[in-house]
Amino acid sequence: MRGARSIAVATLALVAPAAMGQETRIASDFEIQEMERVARSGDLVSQLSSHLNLGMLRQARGETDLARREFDTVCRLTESTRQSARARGELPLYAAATLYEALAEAALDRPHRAFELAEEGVRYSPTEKSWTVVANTMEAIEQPAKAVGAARNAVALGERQVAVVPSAANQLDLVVAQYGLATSLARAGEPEAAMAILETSVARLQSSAFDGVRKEVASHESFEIFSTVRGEVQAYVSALVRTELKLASLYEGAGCLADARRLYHDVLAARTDEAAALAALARLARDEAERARRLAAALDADPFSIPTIREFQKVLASRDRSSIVPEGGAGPGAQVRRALEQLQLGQPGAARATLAELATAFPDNDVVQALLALTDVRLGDLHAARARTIRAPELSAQVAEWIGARTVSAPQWLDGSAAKANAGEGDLRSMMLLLADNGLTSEQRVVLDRVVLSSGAVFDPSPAVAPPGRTVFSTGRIGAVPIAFAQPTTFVGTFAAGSSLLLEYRLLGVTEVAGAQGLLVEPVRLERR
Amino acid sequence: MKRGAAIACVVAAALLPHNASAQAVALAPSGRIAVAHDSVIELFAADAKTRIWSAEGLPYVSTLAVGATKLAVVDAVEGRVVVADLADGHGFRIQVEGTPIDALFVGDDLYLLQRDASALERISSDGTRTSAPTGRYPQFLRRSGRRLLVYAADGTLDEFTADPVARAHSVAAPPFATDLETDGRFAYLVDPDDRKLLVFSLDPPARAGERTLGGFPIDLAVLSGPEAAAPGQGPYDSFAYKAPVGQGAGTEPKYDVPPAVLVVADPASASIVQFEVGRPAPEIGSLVPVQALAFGGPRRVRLPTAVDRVVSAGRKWVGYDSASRVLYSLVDGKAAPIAHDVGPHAFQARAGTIAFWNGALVARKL
Repeated sequence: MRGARSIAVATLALVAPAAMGQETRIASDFEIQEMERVARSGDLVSQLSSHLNLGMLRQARGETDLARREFDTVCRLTESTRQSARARGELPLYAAATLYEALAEAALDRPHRAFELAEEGVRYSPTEKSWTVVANTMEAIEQPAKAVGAARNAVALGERQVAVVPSAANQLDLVVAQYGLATSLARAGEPEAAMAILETSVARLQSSAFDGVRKEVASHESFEIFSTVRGEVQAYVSALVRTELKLASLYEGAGCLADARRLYHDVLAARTDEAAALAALARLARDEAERARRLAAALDADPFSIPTIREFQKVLASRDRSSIVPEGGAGPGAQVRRALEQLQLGQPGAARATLAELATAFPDNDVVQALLALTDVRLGDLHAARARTIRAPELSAQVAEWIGARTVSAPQWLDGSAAKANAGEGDLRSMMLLLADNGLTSEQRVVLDRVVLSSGAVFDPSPAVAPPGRTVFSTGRIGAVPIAFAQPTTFVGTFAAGSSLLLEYRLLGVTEVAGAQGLLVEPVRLERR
Repeated sequence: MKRGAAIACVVAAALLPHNASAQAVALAPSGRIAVAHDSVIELFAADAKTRIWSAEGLPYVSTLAVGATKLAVVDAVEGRVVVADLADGHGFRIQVEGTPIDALFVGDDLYLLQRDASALERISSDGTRTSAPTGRYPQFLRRSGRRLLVYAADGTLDEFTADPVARAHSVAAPPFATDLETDGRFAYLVDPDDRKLLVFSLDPPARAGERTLGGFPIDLAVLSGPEAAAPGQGPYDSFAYKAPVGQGAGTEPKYDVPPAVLVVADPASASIVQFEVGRPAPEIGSLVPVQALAFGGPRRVRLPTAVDRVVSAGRKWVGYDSASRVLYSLVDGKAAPIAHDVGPHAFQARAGTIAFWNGALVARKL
């Protein structure tokens, strides 16, 4: 019954572009409103697709609770749909509902149920689009090898289809499948293979096969990209933007920055408010002014992107405080920037007021709640910070860390009573948390600049060649706390790497040491113990 | 009205909570029954009540394979495998990376089909691991004596030697078939896309014939050997073995040995299709090609429910609906429910007996 296994293509056509977008797509309110409208008024499959997309859009915005509600709705609808479809012998609908449910179960963090449903869905409908959904389901349950296998099936079927009927629609389906495969390969640690696939996808999208679609695109004064794509033009633009964005990020990761920049600009030519491209161009900016401008635009497009917020915090931290002026503006992006600026200026109370206003408009947003928790912590109101409802696990963990850092007591030697002090591993761990969280008072900072600490240290071998009677070290450990000097430092005397030595030093800040968080120290003296 | 009422009943059943974790049941030698559920492996006596031993298992089970002396519990999602001795439950654990989608024992050696690694791996009883490549995206592993058959979704049916693990022969097959079974004489594949059953002779595997079934054939069960030769072996009618003598007046083919009886599930039309496959009896004075096949039937029987998995329990047959998770006995043209809320791996049938788990282990005669 070839028909039965292929009809599901039509019903699942809606899912694949949604899955394409889930990595970087951030929804606008308009998109969510549109999805809610379809969810209320569309046919059953449109409703399922819309709820699934709404869940993904809400999740991307940090609205974890609302996202879960959408995924629960999908499961409820698909359970009854699957039963009735099987009872009526409507196997394509049964397969589609089963695959939708697999994706929803994966989003709800029920990997085994998701796996079983995915297996059942493709048993009934092993089509190109089904395999793409399975690949996305496997991605969602963090099984990259399984995602690669499923995506390879999708691409193989897509290539076969294009060889038989090289229509624009079939080529577009193939590009969607290739995007899934490239995403899975990149996550599985094969970026070169992913880049090669996406390069062919971009070439395909830019080929003459899509001349007609491109003319239609050009005739549109403006367009929106919906996760649930409603026509070939939108599907084409969505596929082009996603594919170029993914390829650009892979180029960026591989250090091919010029190619990455070019593609990010191509993305922005198609969609000026593409947040991921704006944030990427901020990362790649050649000067601070461009970086700030791009980041501001990225936050306007997506105020709740955690990576963008962190990037903006870094920019603020690198600037002199006197140059920071909290900006005005009423949009969510401006409000987030203003709150971050107020925090950087040591005005947590003002930041809390700014964020409270934002929380009125976005009451279920985990990112806003997490930022509010940060202001609570800065104000010393740990009870309020703990009371914030944050569903997203990574944000919840971050808030717990902030609270933990605040409850860490500062070492006694920070009271300024001594010019020299012995610092144990526990002291240094507390300092690492306090420094990372900006948790020191201005008086403690003055003491820290002055005090000379003394600890037992073990150093790593240095590749630098030292003159006779000298030793060069750059990294090591105090207990299990990684330490690093600002640059390789030559000590008078011969010291063995790996042996226990006594180091006198000043503590400068936190830094990354061989991929782990550690302390940046300024050596004063080194001797054998 | 009737159809609407039936749907309402099914929907109501579907709203019952599913068992939270996956379970698997397998029949072991001497009538014993192995169960893997809720991170526990248990071996029961044939009465399904007397627990022989219990051991730590896995939180999720996708396959439970049982051999003559050992069993293996497999989690295809996380790639975890527990191997235990049937004697006392003691054993070892291993981790595999390539999605172990199917497993079986040959002697004391465990064979794991790893889908995403496209490999067949042998784990010897001493822990030695060897593997051989399969077709891309292997899906089914079956045993025929010392031969292992592997079907891969790229459209290959391979025969492997068990020791050493090596591909001996390969034959083209349709991609994305949904079931592979063998009775030692033939291998059978169902291909829903072309609505066909394909038959392969073995040693080496070669395409022997095919039968167009219509509908949406998705799963099959085979009954072969002496039981198939007896009348009344099918769930709905009797395909009595026709002795290969003389020229029969009927339309049923004559076979040189008793044919295999096949039952195929077709959920599109809520029916099963039963037919027989065998070598035709040579007619006097004619030449018959060695690879020629004769098919009896098919006979299609509509069911009140759409089963999509079928298994043979000797001369009895069992159906399973993976949407409603209901297990049925297929007798005399009727599908009688045996149990509700049964997982897709939580039942096994043999020689007129069914064992299943739906919160507790049950074994009963069909």
